[in-house]
Amino acid sequence: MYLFKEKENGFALIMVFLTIVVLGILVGAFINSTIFNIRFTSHQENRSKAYYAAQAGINHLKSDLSAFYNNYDQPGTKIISNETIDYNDNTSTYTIELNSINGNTKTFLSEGIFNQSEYSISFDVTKLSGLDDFGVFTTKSLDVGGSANIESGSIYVEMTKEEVQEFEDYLDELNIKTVDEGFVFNFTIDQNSFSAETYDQSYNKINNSFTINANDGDKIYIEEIDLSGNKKLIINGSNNGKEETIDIYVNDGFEISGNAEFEVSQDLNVNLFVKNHFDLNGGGNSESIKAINNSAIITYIHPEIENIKLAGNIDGDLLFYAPETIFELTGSADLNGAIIAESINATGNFTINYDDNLDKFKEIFKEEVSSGSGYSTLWRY
Amino acid sequence: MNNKSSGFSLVEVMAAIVILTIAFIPIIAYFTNSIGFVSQREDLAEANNIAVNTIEFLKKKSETDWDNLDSYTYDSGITVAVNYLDKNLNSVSNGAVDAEGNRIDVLAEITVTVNIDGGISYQLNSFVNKVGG
Repeated sequence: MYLFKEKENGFALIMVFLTIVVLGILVGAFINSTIFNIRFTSHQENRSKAYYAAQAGINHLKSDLSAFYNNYDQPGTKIISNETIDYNDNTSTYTIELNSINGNTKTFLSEGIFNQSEYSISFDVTKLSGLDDFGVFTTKSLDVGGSANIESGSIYVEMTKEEVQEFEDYLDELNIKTVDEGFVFNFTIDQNSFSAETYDQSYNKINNSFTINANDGDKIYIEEIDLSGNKKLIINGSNNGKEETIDIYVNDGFEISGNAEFEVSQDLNVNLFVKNHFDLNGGGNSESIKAINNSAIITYIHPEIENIKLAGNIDGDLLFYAPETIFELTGSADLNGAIIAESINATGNFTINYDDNLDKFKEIFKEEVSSGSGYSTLWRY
Repeated sequence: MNNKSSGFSLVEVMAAIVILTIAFIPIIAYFTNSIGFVSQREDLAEANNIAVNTIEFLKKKSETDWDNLDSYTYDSGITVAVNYLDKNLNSVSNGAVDAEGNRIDVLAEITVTVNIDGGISYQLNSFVNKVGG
């Protein structure tokens, strides 16, 4: 008993040391966890700042996209180096590099840095020129209601996205935007061109079935076209088996209703210039405007025509060039073609399908618009 | 011997208490500090989230309401400064135009400051541009 008691001496001290060791381990673990938390939140903040520096770089790129896109052709080139964004006691930086080129698509890398945290964002930009696959262009707005439809493959571009709620999701899905406020082709119809021309053929008002036989390069003046019932106006080429182009100037309005038709025979490209008014109200089964095999029609709408209503069927390769006109598309008609307009309001079941044959107009518009100051390139990103 | 050892355990226990107390003082001090520090980091993380949300909000707003990026009332403690820039990052006024009448305010530098308790503030900066993004 005595010996045992003697051995108990100092036991409490040992317990104290053991307690200190255990507490030390616990405190060590806690310190470790705290340091991790601090590093993690600090890393989050640094990464956020690096991310938004990289985003700032992308937005800087977008703000002058045309210059950045056009001026650099060597992958690996640094376009913007270490541009700084100031904080009170520090700075973040971004650097933009042209990373790769694939056809019309250039891939840019924006690298944001803050406190040694880095964040890189890749940004693909595709330059779209001319018509490409776009079926609809508007300078102001596109409003689609009811069951109206713009088929995929005839993608539209519009300016004021907020006005087209129905299509916002679609737009996001396509990820297509324009970089400039306006989409203006520097391509207007000469106000005087209708009366100043010396025409190869001229006609008064056409309101009965009629056939015009034209030669390549002919300029034809028609005072007015007003077809109703089953009347049919046919434009024939000289049938030499080659592609021909003729210009038709309609001075006092173009109107088709009922089952009436305006038909362009094969291999013929028609530039149709229309003043005063343009109305299609074809209610029948036939097509109001028809372009037969490999023929194509560009309808240039004079700026004085403020509104156009299309309710009839329109077939063939038909392009409306009317950048200053508001289009109302109603009924259940189909348009195989494309529209360039100030704004488009589509209701009912109106459908627009882009026609690949319209691609042949691309070059025309490219040439005309590329030198114009009002030209805005389209970008997909 | 028996008598001599009487009361020794009490001395040991007293010594142990003294040692433990001395050991606990820095530990308690550390805990007190770290609780305050972790709390501050949590506030900073929250401030970061608020700042991120605010910049995202302004990105969306820039698509539709570019001219009024700087006119919005935020919750107290959130301050947003908007600095309109031209494409060369020069500061310009909202609505500034060039000689041809074209708008040149194509970028906006956004500075979001979130005030945290204890006089600390958190700042997040970025650029947004006119077409959103």
